[in-house]
Amino acid sequence: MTASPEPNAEVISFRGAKRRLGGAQVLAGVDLVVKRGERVAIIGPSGAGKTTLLRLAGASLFATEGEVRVLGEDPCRLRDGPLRSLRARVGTVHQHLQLVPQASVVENVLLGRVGTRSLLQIAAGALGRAERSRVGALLDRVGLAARLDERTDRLSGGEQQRVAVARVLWQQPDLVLADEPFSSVDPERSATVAALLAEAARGRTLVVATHQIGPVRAHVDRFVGLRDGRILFDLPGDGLTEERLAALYRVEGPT
Amino acid sequence: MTPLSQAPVRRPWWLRGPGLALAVGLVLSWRESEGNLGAILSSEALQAFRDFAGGFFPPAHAPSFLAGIGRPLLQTLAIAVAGMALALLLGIPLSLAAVDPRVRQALGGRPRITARIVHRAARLLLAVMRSIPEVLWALLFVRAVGLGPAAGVLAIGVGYGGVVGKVFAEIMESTPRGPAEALGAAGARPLAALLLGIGPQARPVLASYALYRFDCAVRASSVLGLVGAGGLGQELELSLKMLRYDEAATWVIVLFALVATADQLSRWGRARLARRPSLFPASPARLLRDLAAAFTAVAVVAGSARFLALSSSDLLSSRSLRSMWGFVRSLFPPDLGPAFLRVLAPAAVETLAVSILGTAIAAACGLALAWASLGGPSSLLDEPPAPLRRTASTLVSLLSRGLMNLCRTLPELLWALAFVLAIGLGPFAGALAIGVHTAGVLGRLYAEAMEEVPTGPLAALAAAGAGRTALGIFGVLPQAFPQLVAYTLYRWEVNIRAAAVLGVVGAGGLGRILYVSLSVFDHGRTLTVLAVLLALVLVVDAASGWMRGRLSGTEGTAPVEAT
Repeated sequence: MTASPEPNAEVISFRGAKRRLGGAQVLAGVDLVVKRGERVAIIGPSGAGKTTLLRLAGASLFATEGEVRVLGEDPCRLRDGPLRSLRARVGTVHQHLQLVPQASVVENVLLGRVGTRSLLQIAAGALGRAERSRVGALLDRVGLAARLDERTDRLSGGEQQRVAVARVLWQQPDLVLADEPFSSVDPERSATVAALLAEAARGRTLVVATHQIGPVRAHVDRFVGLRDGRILFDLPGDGLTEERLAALYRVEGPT
Repeated sequence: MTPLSQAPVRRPWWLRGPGLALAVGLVLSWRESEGNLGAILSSEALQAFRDFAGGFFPPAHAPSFLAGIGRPLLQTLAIAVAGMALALLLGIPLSLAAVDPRVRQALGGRPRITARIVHRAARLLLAVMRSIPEVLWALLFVRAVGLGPAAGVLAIGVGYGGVVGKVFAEIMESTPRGPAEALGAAGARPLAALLLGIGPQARPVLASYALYRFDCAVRASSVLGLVGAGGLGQELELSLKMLRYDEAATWVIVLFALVATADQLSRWGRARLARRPSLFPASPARLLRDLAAAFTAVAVVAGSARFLALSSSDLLSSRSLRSMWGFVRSLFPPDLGPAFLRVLAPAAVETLAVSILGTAIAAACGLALAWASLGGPSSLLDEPPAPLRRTASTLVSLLSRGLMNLCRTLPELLWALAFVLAIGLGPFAGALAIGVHTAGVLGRLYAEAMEEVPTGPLAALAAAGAGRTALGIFGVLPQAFPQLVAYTLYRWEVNIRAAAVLGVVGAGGLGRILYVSLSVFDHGRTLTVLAVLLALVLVVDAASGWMRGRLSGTEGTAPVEAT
């Protein structure tokens, strides 16, 4: 079974998905369907289960109970090879970026296709002129064209963020996930990063987990509120009210 | 709240369980290794030391003698190079197999029973490989493939392969996994994620460790000659036994220079590697340079093998394989007769005692050397001392550093040879040898640990009027203490292996029995001794690991130089 190309296909579908991690019930039964081309923000306080939800959606973690389908597939049932092919169709901008610090910028971008290419092909890509100029053009789109051969750990946090986005662009995934993409940039830069993400997700499906609503408001058309591993609300972009937010971030217990 | 005066008084650590156990252990070890201050201070021993010191100067420098140095020296170096190449060849694949399966899972692999079995088997194999010291491997290989450098290369290859495999696996396990997990999430195979995500971060540490091991291999190959496995050890032994101390002095100087050169080279290599701007060559010129470097490395290894007249077709010829297989078969069945076990038990206790006493001597001397080499607490506080005092402390510091280097450069086996000549056969010579060699190693590690203590408390003590000694005892020692103990325990693990070897030159313990059983071809006994040795080493490793765990809450990884 492969994903059907027609619009309205379900890119992610969770039905009663639960996940335990280290003895704690991180996701306590989540129902969520994201359709092709949608832009969704998962919001909620720290520890709500946003990262776990994204990892299930990226097929790098499996549900302990319930059903999860990614791009039409059930990751649990796939053999190793097809599972890797599925993961290669999901691009992730990780919370701490997780670039390889000792690699050059061009190498980190090329690593986006590590799921579909051999080591030798990646090594050759760093040398070959054609590949380099394509990566260069891509870095131009995120505003980093001049830093191709710089070691990644010499870049600033904001520049590394751009490399991470370029890596996802190079991967050409069907689904783009972003986990707290604004955690390593200052508030003024958040808007730029959000725009970059939206650009990376053009023609693709986007799911962003964040607790900063401001930067994403202009780019998403749906807000899903997550709290204590459950979905509290699922609203269209303009339906998010102050009361809803207050309920989501309400501090419980005696204060 | 309990008033302060009524709070129970906590005894200092040296009056509680661990301290008392240590004291009892030391007393027992002193007895079991036939510790005898009289033996060191006897007039004969003092005369022997004087003869040593007098005979060493001037070192032999007759042209005819110097002309003969080159070949054994090159042979030693070639054994180290070829042995280290074999160690990496064995150690790297084994380390990949031995990495904790949880790492593989974090990189996107599924939990598998087979992965856990492979992991366990690789760990076990590595433990056996590294628990038998390289000198004993050499003894075994001399029996299996005959006298000559081939036995030395195989000994270093197998013994160091075990250490390299274990340490490489630990380095990879302790490297941050984030980047590799991200690659796994993008669909990389677990091995590719490991190589591309963990490899680049671990690379400087891995290279640094491999180069440090090469230093060790040079030292080790210089003593393998004592058991007939080629290199300059044979010449050095000959010089010592014929009382030609001036020649021995020249050999020691040459060895010193060799080790120092290897050390410098590895420093240079590490620095270059840490500066690399990319994983793969980024331009054709770089690619050519990398290829040239790889080609040179292969050529050096191949050249070494050729110089030693080793050839894989010889080593793997049916005749030599038959001889190896014959040796392995002759090990069975092991001799488990009660008469032999009754001889073996005290020898095992003796080996354990020698390792404990030697480590204790090393800790005491190492601490003194380290403190002297730091040039006092003013160097820690960055305060300029009075000029005269500075000259004196610089001199003391240089002297103690030189002494530490000398202690460290000469392997335990050579020290044991010297002490056996000076104070006679027996385990005490072994304990002294381990003590002297390890004092050099621990002294350097201690000094580094003490240099890194936070200086705030020191400044506060100094401001309150504390003198040099008070600063050391109340400011530096308490802060560095856990680390000093951890280093000492690591070295104890190394020393239990060393103690098992020293019997070869007459310093008692399991090594003597093994040497005898190999010499008279009683291989059933050889296997029993090896099994007992393995058990002893594993017990000491576990005990030391447990104590380190209690000390720091985590087991941590060994500092490169301590393993």
